[in-house]
Amino acid sequence: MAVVVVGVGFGAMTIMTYNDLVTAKLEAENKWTYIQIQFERKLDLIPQLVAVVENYTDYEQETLTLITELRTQWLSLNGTPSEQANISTQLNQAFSTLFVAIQENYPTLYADILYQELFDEITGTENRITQAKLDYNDAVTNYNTKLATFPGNLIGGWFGLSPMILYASG
Amino acid sequence: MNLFPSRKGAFLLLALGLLVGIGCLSTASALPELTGYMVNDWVYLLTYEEEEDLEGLCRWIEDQTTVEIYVIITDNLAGEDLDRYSYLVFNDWGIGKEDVNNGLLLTLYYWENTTHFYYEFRIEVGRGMEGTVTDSEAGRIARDNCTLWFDYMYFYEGLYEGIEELYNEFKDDPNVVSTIGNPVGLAAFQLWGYENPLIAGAIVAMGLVMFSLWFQIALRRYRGSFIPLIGIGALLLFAWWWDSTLQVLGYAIIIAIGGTVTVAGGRRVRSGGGRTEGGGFRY
Repeated sequence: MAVVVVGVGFGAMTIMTYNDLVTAKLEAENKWTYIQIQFERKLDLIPQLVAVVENYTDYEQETLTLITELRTQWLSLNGTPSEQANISTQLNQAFSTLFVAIQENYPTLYADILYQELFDEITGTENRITQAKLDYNDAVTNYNTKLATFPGNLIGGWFGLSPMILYASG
Repeated sequence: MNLFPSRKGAFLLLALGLLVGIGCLSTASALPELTGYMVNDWVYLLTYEEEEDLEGLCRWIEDQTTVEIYVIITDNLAGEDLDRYSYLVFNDWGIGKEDVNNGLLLTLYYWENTTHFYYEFRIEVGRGMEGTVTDSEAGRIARDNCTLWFDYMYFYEGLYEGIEELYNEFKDDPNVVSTIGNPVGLAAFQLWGYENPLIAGAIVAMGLVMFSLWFQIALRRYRGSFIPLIGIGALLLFAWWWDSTLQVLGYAIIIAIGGTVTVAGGRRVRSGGGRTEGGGFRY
């Protein structure tokens, strides 16, 4: 009798913990797609930005080319978090070089309403990406914590669940 | 009945109370709870009349278009930066109706020292509003209508003009209008209790007082005293069900034991469960 009770209790605990772990993992994976969606939004803005800036500037061709190249690289990438983070850091550096250059050297462009709007859109997209990344990291931490603590560590081990990687910035 | 059978028991109870108290204190830096008002000025930058006026404007806009505009003025971001704070509060409170996510949140983070005041401002745009209020639109309104005033400490004027301008953006757009109807039946009853906790509490309190009188009479007659006790229990459960934020229950108990209650403001509002993905503009 006692053996049966313990056995049933143990089985129930296994099932519940396993389901819990898988739910947390799927949630984290869903948050990962959110980041991708927001990155796509940012990449879609790049051609517009290039078009606006090209007409005004003579000396920023290098940066513009770099940005376009990075965009292409990104599109051909089926990335792991670290690869993506690498390219996105380069992209952000190129962006900030460009924005500072425009602010300092091209006052007419900087005051241009089209550029201003585009700049707001890019800043807004950056914010979305940041929020998505933080949400992803929260979800991954939640999953990893469940996986590292008892009884998740045992049951995760039996079913071969491995911890997920956090999205590191920079 | 002796409530504390021994000194040890009383001491244990006190220790438990202290523990609970400390537990409550330690969560003080967490995100704010939904307050029941659309305009929340926790720094007292607005006068009472100005706050009422903005509240009226926001509720009028919700009546007209179903769009929910909330305002938060705070000096405490709960350890987050302004962008994250707005994002978390927006999604936590569920600003905007669930079906079209038509919410807007205006967060003004204000702090000062002996000589200067500082502020940061963000317009957080709900997912369904992004078509009409794009990030660049939000940026334009924040720059031209809000912060222009804020720089000279005219916070009411800036907020009013900003909300007005936002309203002009979305007022003719059919996409932001929620089609969720008003609740009917039991849900409507619960909503009424949520919106008018004081009246609902008074009604429950009348029942509680009647049952307790009945209980006293039954005690004298030495029979049937369990019926009013069950009634009291049922009423408390009912008040709990009526309003899960426990305001109705709280008011009922307070009124029933004859406490005096100060009434703050009028009707409460409840948000519709909308979501944001972080769109908007930060000044």
